[in-house]
Amino acid sequence: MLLLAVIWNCTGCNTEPRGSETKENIENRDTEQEMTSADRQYSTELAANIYKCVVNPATGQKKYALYLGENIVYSGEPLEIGVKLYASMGDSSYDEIPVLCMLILDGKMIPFSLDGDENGALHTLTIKNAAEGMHSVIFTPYGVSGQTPKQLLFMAIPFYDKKEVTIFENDILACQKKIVSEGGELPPEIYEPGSGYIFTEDLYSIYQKNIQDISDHAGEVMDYIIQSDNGELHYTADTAYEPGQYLTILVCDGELYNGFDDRPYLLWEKKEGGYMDKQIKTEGLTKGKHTIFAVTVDFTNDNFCMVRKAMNTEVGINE
Amino acid sequence: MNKRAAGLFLGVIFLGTFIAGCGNNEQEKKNLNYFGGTGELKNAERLNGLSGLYDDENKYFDNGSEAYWKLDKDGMLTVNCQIASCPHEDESCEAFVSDGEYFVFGGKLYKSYNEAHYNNGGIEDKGYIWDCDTGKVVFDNPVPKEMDADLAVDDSTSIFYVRVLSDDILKVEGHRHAYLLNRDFEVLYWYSDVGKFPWGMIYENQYYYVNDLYKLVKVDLETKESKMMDWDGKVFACDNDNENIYFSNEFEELNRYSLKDGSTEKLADDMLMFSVHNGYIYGGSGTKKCIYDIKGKFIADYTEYQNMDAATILCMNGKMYSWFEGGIAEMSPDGKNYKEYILE
Repeated sequence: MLLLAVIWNCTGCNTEPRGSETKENIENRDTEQEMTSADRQYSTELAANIYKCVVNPATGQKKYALYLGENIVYSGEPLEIGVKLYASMGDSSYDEIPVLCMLILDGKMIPFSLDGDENGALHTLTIKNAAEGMHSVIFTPYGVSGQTPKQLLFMAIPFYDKKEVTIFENDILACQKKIVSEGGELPPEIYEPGSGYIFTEDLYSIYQKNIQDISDHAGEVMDYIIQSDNGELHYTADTAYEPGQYLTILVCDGELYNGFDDRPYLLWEKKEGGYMDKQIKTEGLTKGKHTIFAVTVDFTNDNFCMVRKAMNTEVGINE
Repeated sequence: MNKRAAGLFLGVIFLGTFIAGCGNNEQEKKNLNYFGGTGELKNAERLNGLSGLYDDENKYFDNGSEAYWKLDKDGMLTVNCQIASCPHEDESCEAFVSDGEYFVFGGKLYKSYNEAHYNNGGIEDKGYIWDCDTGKVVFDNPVPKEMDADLAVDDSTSIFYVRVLSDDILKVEGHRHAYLLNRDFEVLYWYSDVGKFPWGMIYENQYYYVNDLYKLVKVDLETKESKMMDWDGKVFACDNDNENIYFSNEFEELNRYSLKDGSTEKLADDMLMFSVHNGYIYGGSGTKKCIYDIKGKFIADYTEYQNMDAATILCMNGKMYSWFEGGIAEMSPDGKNYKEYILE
């Protein structure tokens, strides 16, 4: 795995593996961890990286290359990049890993085409356990110019709807890179719909329970979807979140869910004190069981986005 | 012989034996090297891997725990410390080296290490090279005085890598600078455009390295003239043998550049990180790990040896090694005879 870590983090990594001596800047994500769930032990390894798509003008053949010390460059056409994904669930029984893919540009979800599919804000993909694969991503980098580079973040979130929900599924494959425009060609300024919500005031809990009481995993994860005794649903973010700007995306049963005031996303700002508590609308959910989770992107830092996922939560809707 | 004479005689024999015994122990001690083995200590061949040394009996490995391990001739892997109750956690342990490593340069053993220092209200690591014979610090890795102020403010004196480039030239690399030093630890050359990997080589008094723009740079050590090689594309990783530089590019292709005639030849695909040892190239891309010979002929696929890491592999006494959590992996140069030693 060390080789993989070095290679896939040629443009950066979160944790430098001891034993492979490379100086890396912080950009892409690579994680290794072991988690015990019930009587099984899982070892997860995740890696993702963004590649340049190079087309041979003579043959029209595509080739993918590493971005070595350079930004993604937009020059007029919808942009194509390659995203290489690798996920290993160790000794688990999963042969294939379904993932949900999203593209975030400076804290906003943007539509994209994945492996030739129609444009959409969310794509599903199945990757083979412990096998790397390259995927084509085509998108328009709204608002990018030569003067104002933006941070592009690709996420692939393992999602098991019908299987055992375990904490090891909490990891996200994510990679990111700066994107600039060259040659005077500028993309459209903004992508609608909307810019979401900015909460400038602290939000204090309306669900009066300590974070330790909410989940056995308090301290290990920072986000929760919780259902109160009266059936209300809440998205709650821990006090451990630093002051800054965040984007939270809501997914229910593998689809974007308009639970944040009829939108699937919430832009919010954390100030000192308190923790985030936002009620999720349940009107759009049919009677029965649903699996909900939230992904939160911290885009406070211009150069590096942190990504976190709330535990999958099974919620029951009576009416 | 009366009792007194007999006692005196036995006493003389005993004393003689004791002195002779002491002499043998002293002789044995004199024959032991700094690591407690016998024979001359030698550096492992390595590119990106942690340091390793070996002597006539044992192999010694730097590893994730900071206490050197010893692999003896019987295949026993232990922490290289004789004190059974030692927790091997700090400098009081004879095997311990804090954020550093041992290396042999010009026939002498040195230790490079970093130590935390208070500086302007903050804590920063300060790097040192220490002569194991004299117990004296021989180099302390200052930020170069001539360095551009904008770069210097972001630099530090900690030591990231030490690489022995030849019997006479040592490379010491910090955060934003690298030095080439002679045997007296005098600066022969320094530069600030350091790349990601610690590779560098000397060929006919020319120094080669990969800079922060992923370009190969050649420095004439006589004139100090530096020039970027005029190649299309970028260089990711490099290694070398006596007359060739092997490099991977952004397409993860492995190439060979002849220092003799300046020709370049593509050897293989899917080789991004690699090391060259004794006529073989060990490396791969993603999860795949292969061995090629230096002409690009495929030798073996060793992907299944998960603990034999391609990026950090090292060579000692004709065998390949790689450190992993709790043990050392070993194989023959051609990828055969794989085995793992687990720390006792």
